[in-house]
Amino acid sequence: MSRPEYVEIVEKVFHETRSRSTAEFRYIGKDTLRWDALAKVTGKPIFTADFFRLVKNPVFVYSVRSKYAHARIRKVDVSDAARYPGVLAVLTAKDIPGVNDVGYVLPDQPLIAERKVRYIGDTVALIIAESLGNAVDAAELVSVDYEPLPVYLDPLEIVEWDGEKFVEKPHELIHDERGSDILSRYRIRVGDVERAFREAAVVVENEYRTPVQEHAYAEPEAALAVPEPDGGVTIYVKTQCPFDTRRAVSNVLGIPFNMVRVVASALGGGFGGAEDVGNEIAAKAALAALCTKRPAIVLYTREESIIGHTKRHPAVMWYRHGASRDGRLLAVEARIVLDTGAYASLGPFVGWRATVHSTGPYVVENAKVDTVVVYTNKIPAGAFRGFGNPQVHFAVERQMDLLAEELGMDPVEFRLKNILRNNERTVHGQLLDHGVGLEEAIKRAVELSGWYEKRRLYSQMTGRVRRGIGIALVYHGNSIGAEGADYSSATIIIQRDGSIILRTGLTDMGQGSIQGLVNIAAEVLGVPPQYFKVELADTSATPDAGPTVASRSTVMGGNAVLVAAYKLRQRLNELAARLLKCSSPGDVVIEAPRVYCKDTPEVYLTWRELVEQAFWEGIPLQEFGYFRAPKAVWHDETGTGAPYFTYTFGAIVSEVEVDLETGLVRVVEATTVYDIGRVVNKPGAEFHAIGGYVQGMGYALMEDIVYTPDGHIYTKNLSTYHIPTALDVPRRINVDFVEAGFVRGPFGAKGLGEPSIVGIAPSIANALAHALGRRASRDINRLPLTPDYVYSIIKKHKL
Amino acid sequence: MVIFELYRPSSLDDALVFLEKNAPDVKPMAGGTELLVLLRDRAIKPPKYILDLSPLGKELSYVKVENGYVRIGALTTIWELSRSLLHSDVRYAGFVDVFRKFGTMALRFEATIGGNIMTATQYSDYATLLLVYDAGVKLASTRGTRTLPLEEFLVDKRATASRPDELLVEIFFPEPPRSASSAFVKFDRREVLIAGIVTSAVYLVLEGDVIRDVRVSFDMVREKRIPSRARVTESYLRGKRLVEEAVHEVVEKVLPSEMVRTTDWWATAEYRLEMSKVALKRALYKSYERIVRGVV
Amino acid sequence: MGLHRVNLVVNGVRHTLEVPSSERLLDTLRWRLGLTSVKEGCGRGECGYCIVLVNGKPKHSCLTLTATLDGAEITTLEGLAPEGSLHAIQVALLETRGIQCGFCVPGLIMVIKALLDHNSSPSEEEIREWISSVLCRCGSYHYYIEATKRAAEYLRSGRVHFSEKEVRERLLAGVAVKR
Repeated sequence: MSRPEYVEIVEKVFHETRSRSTAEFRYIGKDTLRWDALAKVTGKPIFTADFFRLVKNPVFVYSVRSKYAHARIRKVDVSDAARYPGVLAVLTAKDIPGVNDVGYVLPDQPLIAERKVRYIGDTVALIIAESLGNAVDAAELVSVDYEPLPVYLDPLEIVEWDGEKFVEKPHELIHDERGSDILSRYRIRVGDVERAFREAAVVVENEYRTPVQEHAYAEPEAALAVPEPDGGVTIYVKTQCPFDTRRAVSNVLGIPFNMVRVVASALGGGFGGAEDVGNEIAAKAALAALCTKRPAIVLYTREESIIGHTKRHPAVMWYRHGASRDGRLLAVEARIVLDTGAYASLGPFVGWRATVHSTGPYVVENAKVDTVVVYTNKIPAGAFRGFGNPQVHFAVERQMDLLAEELGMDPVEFRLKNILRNNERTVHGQLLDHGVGLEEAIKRAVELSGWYEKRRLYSQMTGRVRRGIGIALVYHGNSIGAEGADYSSATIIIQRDGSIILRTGLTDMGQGSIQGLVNIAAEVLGVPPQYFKVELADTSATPDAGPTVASRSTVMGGNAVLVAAYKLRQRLNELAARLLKCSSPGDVVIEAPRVYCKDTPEVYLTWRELVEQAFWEGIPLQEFGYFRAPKAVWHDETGTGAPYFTYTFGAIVSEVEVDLETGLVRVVEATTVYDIGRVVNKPGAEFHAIGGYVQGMGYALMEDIVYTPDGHIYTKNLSTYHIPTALDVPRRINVDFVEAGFVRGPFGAKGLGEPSIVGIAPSIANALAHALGRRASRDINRLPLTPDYVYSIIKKHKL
Repeated sequence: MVIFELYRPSSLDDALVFLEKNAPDVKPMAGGTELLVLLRDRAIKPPKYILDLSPLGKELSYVKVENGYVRIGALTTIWELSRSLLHSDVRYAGFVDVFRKFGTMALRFEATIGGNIMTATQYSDYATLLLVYDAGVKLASTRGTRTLPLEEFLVDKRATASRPDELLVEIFFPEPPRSASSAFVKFDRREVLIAGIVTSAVYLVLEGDVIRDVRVSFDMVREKRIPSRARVTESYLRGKRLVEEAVHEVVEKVLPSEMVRTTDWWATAEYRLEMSKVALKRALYKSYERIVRGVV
Repeated sequence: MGLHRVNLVVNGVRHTLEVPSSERLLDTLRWRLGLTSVKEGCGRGECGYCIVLVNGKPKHSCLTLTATLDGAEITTLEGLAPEGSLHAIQVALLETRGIQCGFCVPGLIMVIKALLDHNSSPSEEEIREWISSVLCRCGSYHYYIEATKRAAEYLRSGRVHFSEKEVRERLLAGVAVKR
């Protein structure tokens, strides 16, 4: 059975360059300035809301939201609102021409609520008006006859563990149409945990809780829909997944894909939050545009943004770990409850990823994990950088430290005894025969952070302010695994004058991975990155690269680009060899602007001349690259197989200071070392490590969405939802990378988008545990570690 | 839509006449950092008129010492305060503390001390500090001016003793003696853009290590959700030597006897009470150190 | 409801506008004058993305009524440097490689400008204090602090404006710049 050409190409390139150090490349891993930096530093209009003033006569769309977090809708009366000055139309569920649904994974989420409302952000009517002001005023006149139902904000009101499995508790079903509020279940059954626990010398068990995290991206949601003369619609929208947005809009409008054009502008931050809300706002704008035959604008305020888009799944986790006296991990047992809020969103996939990673980057031969994802009446939880992994790693890495304490071992030493290494199998039985750089990452992190000395020094501190140093390890499967068809594509078009256009359906939300794609193409073709122009993701013009999620852009997008560039390079090599009379095409060196044979550099063509000649000879200068990931293997009953084709590894060390009088915790310094296979985009890799740290620190210490008993939230703006400011970040974050390349990554590269947040909170929690000492350890089991909570631990243990 | 009419006065007198004619349908606006937020949030109904005080900026922005009183124009911005003697003389050191935790740096160019006091919430940090300076406020109207103690001026949450046709024009307090200083303590989950778990201000006058005078305030003490003085705490401390035993006693026994904190979604009453103790202790020691060292 | 006649100088250009009382400077700048570098992130003076310079001082344009600004001079990012050139702050941000989504950058640059106008040699602590006026969710604060220090160096040595063309060629050459 022959392998696809794209696999051959990627593997060939990997093998040819495997032993080459990154320093030897021309563009890979260099300090290239991102393609859009100049536009951003000059404030050019690149975000969706910046385009609004370019259209004439727009209408504004405003979502009237539910008063209750859970209620039946008996009647919706919009007649008064429709008569309000400036209002053109008020749409309700019955006005949706296609399917009233924007669920990302399951069709469980009406665009406009019809029968029920399930959270406070549910839209009950859409006001279309001449101005946002008119629309907001008119919204007060929409009259809804609700029959309030009980509000569920605690997933443990929905399910409980009966000793063997999660069972649903009797309650007023939120998704009565599904017959159950259990959305998904996952499990791992490997080895024999009961026997392993009996043999274990130490057993540690504890409960862990992690909070709802809000993306708080800089740019609030925005969409602009322009009706096209042919009955279609073009939508400029904040979305990470333009092709999924198109599908959603087509579904809601009842028109074919090719009549919906979605253009993804630059995003002012996404972090997973713009994965499905983009579908919702695009559909709303498109509805309004087709209804009024005018351009339609959707623009959220910050409060609407916080209430109106998905969050990180809060988790309740119970873990039991067993180890031998000499420090070998014997068994892991876990029960994980993820609260997906009112709608599924990406919940089924988050639950799966959490389960896959639930035992951490360790050799675990006996594991029993049960995960359940349940509905409640909270704001829906969906994708957020890490996608279930930060939650389980918080629990796992705290557990590892608790075990180390029981064993009297240094936390690093204990981990080194158990980590995954090359030629070992994951808990799922997947053989990792290469590409595991975890040990090296740990060693670098220990070195850079001064671990051993500080570990010793800080244990001896007395006084009001204590310090601690802690470590956490992570692993994070790249791309979407068994979630769906994992593919990407890109087009490279060399223009006749030698400049190049890169078309990719990947979006940029600040992560800058497209620069990595440019670097890859630049390296393969032999031309500098600034020859490239990157086109915005556009469903009518750029190829479907798959969604910009799951830390997949560099690997999947990069491979697609690699394949396209490689094929172009072959053709150009043949032509150049002929023109320059090189011994073979393999001897052609392209170092644009020069092209020459390896042995005779003084005889050269220019890149422009080569391209021009290709044009005249009818050699195609455009190439489409496609890459499909190896198929994931997952056995539902046992949780075994090969869930992801490769994993990024990391070691994070955090140093904290805690004031025993107030419970205030501050991070003093941090060190992050990630194994990303090959550093393709150096500045991008670095600002991921740093930015991910800051966002993870917020999750660890200060961020929490707090609900009122009736399902509203207190924390609906940026002064009540605390994200780190410039005064909160540690004085220094040390960053380093390990390159244990993976054969099916472009030049061996792996992703970093999400791994860069997964291990932060546990490293901070572990550092705090070190500072407070062993007595308090078990109570460091929840996030955020706010001053009042830490204070309560200090008081409880009389520290 | 938020609809109001903006009136820009040509002088203070013009503003007062406008207020007289149109009160209570007028809301004065200084920096706008409070009023415009309340309007945007629809927390208050739009007034018929907004009186833009910025044309009075020159007249009402000043910090001076005159006849034994420190006088601060109500429209002095927080930034301007930091450029004044209030930030360079150790007797006013608490002003530096308030500044450093006030909003964010950019907001300090827009917010005014008068605006902060008129807001009259627990988060009116300058009010909390000025209380320990025994500050008074001067109100102006077409009827003339009147003064009253800040403590009387702050009636309750978002309620002041200002009449609808009056403008707050000045805050004043007696010039402190040598060997006086102050401190203000505010902390929360992060460093800035915070409300503060609690806040506390202390004003101290020492003779050696004997407390000749002390005044203590908090964002609230009991019942009323506005900055208030902790008078029982003050009486206990007055005349005592500022030593560990006394501080411990006042913090652990005396303060809790007069303070009743509330639990809300951000923090519990117990934690707030404990943090009030910590804040008082830290403010006392900080003021003490400032007097001894002579620097902020 | 009357309109107010307001004379403004925005980025060096005189405008006479008729605005309703309730119009925010943010909307005047973005919608009337097309200066879309000024962003709205919260509408409440918390995020800092709407910060512009009014008479040289930082101001949240979301909390400013245009009608109060008769006679004011306003600078947005578009007006920071003459056509065809970049300001030292912009060059420093490019050189230090910390720009991610870029949404907070315009407000940030105006804050840094105000800081460096006020103090040409700010300490790290002071830089952090000023930069905390802007919330960067991508987490690039360390880069911004470094960029501010570098910009301060440029300004102290008299280098205020750089040719955009030259910067473009130098920085987009794929050559590593020492950081």
